[in-house]
Amino acid sequence: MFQNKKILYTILTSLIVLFVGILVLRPGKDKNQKDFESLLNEGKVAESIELPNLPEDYADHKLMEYSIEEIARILQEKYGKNIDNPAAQIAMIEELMKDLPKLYPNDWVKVLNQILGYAFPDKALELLRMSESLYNYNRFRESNMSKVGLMSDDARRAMMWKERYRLFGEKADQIWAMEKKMTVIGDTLKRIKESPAGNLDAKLSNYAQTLKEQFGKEYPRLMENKRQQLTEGFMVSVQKDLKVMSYGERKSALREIRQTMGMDQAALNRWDALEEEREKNWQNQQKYSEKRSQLSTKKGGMTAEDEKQLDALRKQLFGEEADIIKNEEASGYYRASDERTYGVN
Amino acid sequence: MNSKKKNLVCLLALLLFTTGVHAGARKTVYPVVFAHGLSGFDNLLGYYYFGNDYGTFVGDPCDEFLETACNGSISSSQKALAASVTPFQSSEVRGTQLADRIQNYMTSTGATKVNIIGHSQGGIDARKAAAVLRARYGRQVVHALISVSSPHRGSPTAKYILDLGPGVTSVVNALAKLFGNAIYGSGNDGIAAAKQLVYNDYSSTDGITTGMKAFNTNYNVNSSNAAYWGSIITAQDSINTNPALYLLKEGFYNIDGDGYCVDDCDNDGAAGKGDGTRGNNDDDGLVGINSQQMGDRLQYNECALCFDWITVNTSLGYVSNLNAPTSAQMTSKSSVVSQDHLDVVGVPPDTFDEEEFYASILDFIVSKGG
Repeated sequence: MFQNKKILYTILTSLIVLFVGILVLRPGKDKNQKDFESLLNEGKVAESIELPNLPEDYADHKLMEYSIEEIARILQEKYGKNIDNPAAQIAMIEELMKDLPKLYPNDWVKVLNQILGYAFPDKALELLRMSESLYNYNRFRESNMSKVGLMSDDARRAMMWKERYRLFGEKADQIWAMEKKMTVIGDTLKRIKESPAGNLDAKLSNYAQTLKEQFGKEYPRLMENKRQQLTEGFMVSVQKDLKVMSYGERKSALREIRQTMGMDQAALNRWDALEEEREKNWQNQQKYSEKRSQLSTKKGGMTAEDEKQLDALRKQLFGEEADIIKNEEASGYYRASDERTYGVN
Repeated sequence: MNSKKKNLVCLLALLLFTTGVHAGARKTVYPVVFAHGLSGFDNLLGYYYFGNDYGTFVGDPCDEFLETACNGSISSSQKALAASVTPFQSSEVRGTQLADRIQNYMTSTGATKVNIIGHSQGGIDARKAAAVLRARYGRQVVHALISVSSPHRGSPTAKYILDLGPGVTSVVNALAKLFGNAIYGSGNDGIAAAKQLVYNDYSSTDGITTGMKAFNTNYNVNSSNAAYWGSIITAQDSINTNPALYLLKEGFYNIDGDGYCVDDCDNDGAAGKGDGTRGNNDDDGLVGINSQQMGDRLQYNECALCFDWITVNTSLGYVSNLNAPTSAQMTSKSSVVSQDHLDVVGVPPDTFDEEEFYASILDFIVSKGG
C-alpha cells in the first residue's frame, strides 16, 4: 500500500513539475509584441507635423536613406493613392519592417508608429494594428514551419487561411489576392487534367476565360511575363487529349493552344520547327533504345565492338548531344524511358 | 533634337551608367532563369520557392502603376522565368528537363541566350542544362551561371541519409521531413536525388556511376557552356537555422564542412574533410562551405541605407576545376553569407530580403555583360 502511494505521489509531483515547467517555459510575448500592444492600448499616434518636400530622386534611393519625416513624405507619394487597399497597406508595412529592425533594433516598433502617424495620421492606428498582425503572422509561420511541410496541400491551405482570417479578418482576401488567383488557376488545370479526353477546344476556352476573369485588366501584363509557364501548365493538363491524336492533329492542336495563349506568328513558326525536331528526336530515341537493348541482352553481355557500334549510332542519331547521353546512361538515366509530355519535351 | 542636346543626353546617360546610380537592379540583357533546388514548387509558377508569402516571384517586375505582388527592386522590364523540374531526381534528369524548359522559353519569347541563377541542386542542374543547350544550339546559350548554396562537391547530409544514420528511418521519410511531401508525387526518386549529392559513387555494385565527382568531370566550369561562372556561399550557426535544418544539425547530424583534403578523404559524402570542430558556422544546415564555391566566389553586400550589391572576392581566386579547388577556396569563411540553406529562398521563417538579394544578383549579371 505504502509502495503504491509512493508511486502515486511521485507521479503527481512529476505532473505538477511538468505543468509548472510548461507554464514557465511556454513562449511568451517578445518585446516587439509588447511594444505593439502598449502602443495600441494607448491608442495614441504621432502628432501630425508639416512634412518636408518630396526628395526629387527618391525612386533612385532606398527608403532608409532618408530621415523619418522624409520617409513619411515618400510613403504618402508612393502609397497614398492606394492606402485604402489592404494589399498596398501590407506592401508598405513590409517595406518598412524589412529595414527598420536593422537600423533601430531596440525600438523599431515605436519608430514605425511614428512614421505611420506622420504619413497617414487618419489611418495610423489601423496601419499599426495591421503591422502587429503581420508580425504575429510571421511568428505563426515560423513556429509551424516544420509542421506545414508535411501536411497535404488542402490541410496546409486550410490552416494558413484560418490564421490569416483570424489576424487580418476579411482583408486577408485582398492581401493574398494573388495567391487566391493562382489557386483558382491551379484548380482549373487540375479539373481539366482529371476530366476525360475530348473537347480540347472547350477546355482551352475555359482556361483562357479563367485567366481573363482572374486577372482582369492585369491580364496582358500577366501574359507578357508568364505566357510560357501558363501555356506549359495547360499542355501538361491536356496530355490525355494530345496523346490520342495523330501527329498532324497534334501539331495543329498545339499551334492552336499557343495562338490562343497569345503567341505571335514568329513564335508559332519557331515552335513548329522545334516540335518537328523533337518528334524526330523521340523516334531516334526509340531506334537507339531498341538497338541498345538488343546488344545489352546478348548472351555474355556487350563486347568492345558492340560498345563502339553503340557509340557510332549515338553520334549519328544525336550529334553533339551524344556524349551527354552517354554520361546519362553511365549514371543510370535513359531518356527513352522518360514520359513524353507533348508540347513540353 | 539638335546635336548639342543629343550630346548632353548621351553624356548624362553615360554618367548615370558609370556612377551606377539607378533604382535597384538594371535590366539584364538576357532573361534570367531561376532554377530551384530539391523539392521546389508549391504551386504552378513556383512563387513560393523564389518569392514571398503573398505570391510574389522575385523575378516579377512592377509596372508603372503601383503593384503589390511584384519585386520593386528590379527593372520594370526585366524578363525572368521560374523553371520547374521534377522535385526529387538526379541532376542528369533534372538538368535535361531544365534545358527543355529553357529551350521552350527561348522558343516562345525569341530570346537568344539566358542567364541562370540556381539555388542548391538547381545550381548543379544548371551546369548540365548549359552543356545540353550548348550541344543543341551548337553555340553558347547561357551567359552567366550563378549558383547559390549549391553542393558542388557533395553534402554529408545526403550520405548520412542514404546510410540511414541514427534518427533516419528511410531515405524518403528523411527527405520529406526536410523538404515537405512533394517527394510523394509521381516521377520522384529520392534515392537517385540523394546519390547525386554524395561526392563519390555511392555504390560500386549497382552498375552505375553516381555522385558529384563524376558529374563535375562531365559538366565542369567551362567557358564554352557559359561565359561567366560565380557562386554565393551560405553558412549559419545552429541557433539561427531554420527549425527543420536545426533538427538536422542538432538532432541527428551536424556537418563539419570547413577542412581541406583532395577528394573525399574522410568518406563523409563531401569532398574535403572537417577541421574537427562542428557548429562553427561552417555549413548552412545542409551543405558545408567547402562544397559551395564554383568559379568566382561572390560577396553579397547588404545595405540598410542603400541597395544591396554583389562583388567578386578576388583574393580567393577562381575555381575552374570543381574537383580540385585550393585549400583556401574550401576553407575560407570570407564572403560567406550568414544565412541558412533555406533562408535565401522563400521558405519561412527568416528576415532575409529575398527580393533585394536576387535583385542584386541581377544587377551583378548586368555588370558581367548578361
